[in-house]
Amino acid sequence: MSTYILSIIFAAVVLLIAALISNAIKYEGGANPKDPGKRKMWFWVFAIINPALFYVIAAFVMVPSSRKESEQWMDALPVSTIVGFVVFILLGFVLSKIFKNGKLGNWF
Amino acid sequence: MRCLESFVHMCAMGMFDNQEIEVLTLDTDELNGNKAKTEKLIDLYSRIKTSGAEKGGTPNSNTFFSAKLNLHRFWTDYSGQARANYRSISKLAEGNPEKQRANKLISDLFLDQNSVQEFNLAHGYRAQTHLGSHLMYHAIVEAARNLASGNNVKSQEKELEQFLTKLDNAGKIGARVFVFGSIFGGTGASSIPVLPKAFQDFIKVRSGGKSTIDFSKIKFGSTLLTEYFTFKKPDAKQMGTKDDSVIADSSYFPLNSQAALQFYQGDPTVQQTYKTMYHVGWPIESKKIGQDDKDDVTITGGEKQKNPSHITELLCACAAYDFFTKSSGLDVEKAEYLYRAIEFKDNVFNFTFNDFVGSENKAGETFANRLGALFSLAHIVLTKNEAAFSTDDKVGMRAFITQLEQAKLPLYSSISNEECAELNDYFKTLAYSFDSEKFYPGWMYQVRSTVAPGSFMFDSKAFTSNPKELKGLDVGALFSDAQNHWPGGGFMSDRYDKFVKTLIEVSPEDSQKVNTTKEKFLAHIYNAITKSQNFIN
Repeated sequence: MSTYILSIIFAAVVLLIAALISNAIKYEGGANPKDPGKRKMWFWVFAIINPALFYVIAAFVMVPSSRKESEQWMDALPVSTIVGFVVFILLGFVLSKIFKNGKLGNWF
Repeated sequence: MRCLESFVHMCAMGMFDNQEIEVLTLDTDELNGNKAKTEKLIDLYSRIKTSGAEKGGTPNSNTFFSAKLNLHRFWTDYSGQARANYRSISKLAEGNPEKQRANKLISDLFLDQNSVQEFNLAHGYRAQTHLGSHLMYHAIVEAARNLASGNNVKSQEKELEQFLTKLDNAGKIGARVFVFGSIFGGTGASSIPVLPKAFQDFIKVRSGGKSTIDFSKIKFGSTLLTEYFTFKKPDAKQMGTKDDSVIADSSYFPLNSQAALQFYQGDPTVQQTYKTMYHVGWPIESKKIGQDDKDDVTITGGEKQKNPSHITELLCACAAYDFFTKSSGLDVEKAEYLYRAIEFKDNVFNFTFNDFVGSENKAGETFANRLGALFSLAHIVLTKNEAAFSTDDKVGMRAFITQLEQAKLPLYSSISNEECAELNDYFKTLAYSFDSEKFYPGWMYQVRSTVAPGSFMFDSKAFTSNPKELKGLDVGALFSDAQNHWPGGGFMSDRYDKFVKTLIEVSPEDSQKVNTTKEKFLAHIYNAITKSQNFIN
């Protein structure tokens, strides 16, 4: 499977985790509710974790054993990692706009 | 006056949908603390409903503050030496000797000459109802005469005229007037029997005999509120002066009540002018008020008279609800006397929501839903959104608006901080407030304390005064019955979290007849709480 597809799937999974965590953050009352900030923070934390974690897993765990495939894999890895990062941001933006009145709306 | 306070809170919870209600406060004591408190509350209510040029707002339906209230104030003028007591006001020392003798004889026949004729009237009629009825009738007719002649017209007489002009006009198609007052004290007890006749005569005098009140079209109802509190017995030292030669003694209140009930049962004028009378009482030992007061004298009236609220006053307001909403029983020749019994077990009363307004047309459920919604909102504003603990502009109602803005719903951002502060102030009056560390119970806390440890629809935790407990309070679990707790929201959520989700989902409806941003905001919250409370509405 190409590293590009893997990075997109990985980004989607991480985004799902970010969404679950954001939804688990309860609405707060009071003068300075911190819940919207926390949701936004977790989105960007996962936006950073996503490429880093993908790169590490892809480079050290999922790398093919044959030399040729390994070289191809490693050549494509930086770009696919960037693709995963961009997809994470784009999907996050789309989800935030779809659920703009919900908790995910705090992402953007 | 405190019955009216309860009535205003019932209006705030939305029990008088689509109604514009003319309120007349009637007192002998312009500066009375209870009167001032209630008038301030009505003023706050009206400011909350006001948007732009529409003073007092418009009537709405199925929402908080749904009724429009118009306040009129009338107080008898007993200021100055010439009007300070019966003897002066009746001008017993004027006229020729024969006239003076005749006036004195008739006065002495009904009124004790050394006490009743001489005490200072500025603090009311001090349980001397025979004197009070006479003087209250006199004050109202005197106002009509002053207005008719245009001489010496006082501001309160103009307000009385505004009220009675509206009544006269409304009477052409039919109107209902409900009179709040106790029958054991002074001013209220004196006024109830004579008010319909005094209003009728005011209109006759003011219109030069062209108009009058037709009691078959303008229907009067009233409370027969018997004794429910006591206070410090006046001592001989306090009663030593002529001004204070008569002071109401609460140990006589049961006797006064019994005598008054006999009077209301038998008096033909009362029976013909009133359609329904609601007997409300407190059949167990009355609580003493003013125990914390360090004054060594009995408070007879004035600014210092600010008594805590009692559940019997809420029941009087519920009697008004019954009177204003009943569809039959008002075309009677003779007054009907109504009462209701409440469960009394293990030496405490246990109130259910049907005990307040009955169960017909699910009125009890509606009452519980609306009272519960208002109380929940009070705790959200004061407790959850911290208005009770901070004077910051961002707390309370503003925090609600911010919450909706954060959910990309900037529908109510135009509501000003001042308007939010007015709502915060209302909820402090309703539930509780803190001044530094000191806790002040509001109307609901006071009402509930008169029933405690008996049940009063809500869990006792909902009435805590401990700041730590308040901060940990689950605002979605105020009712005693778990069926009316807000839904929990499932894994990693809670009732408030779920409530905010509901708040985001719902919106005001056309049927609620809300027009201004503030009305829409209140209707929006009302809908979210109602949906969360799981009442059929």
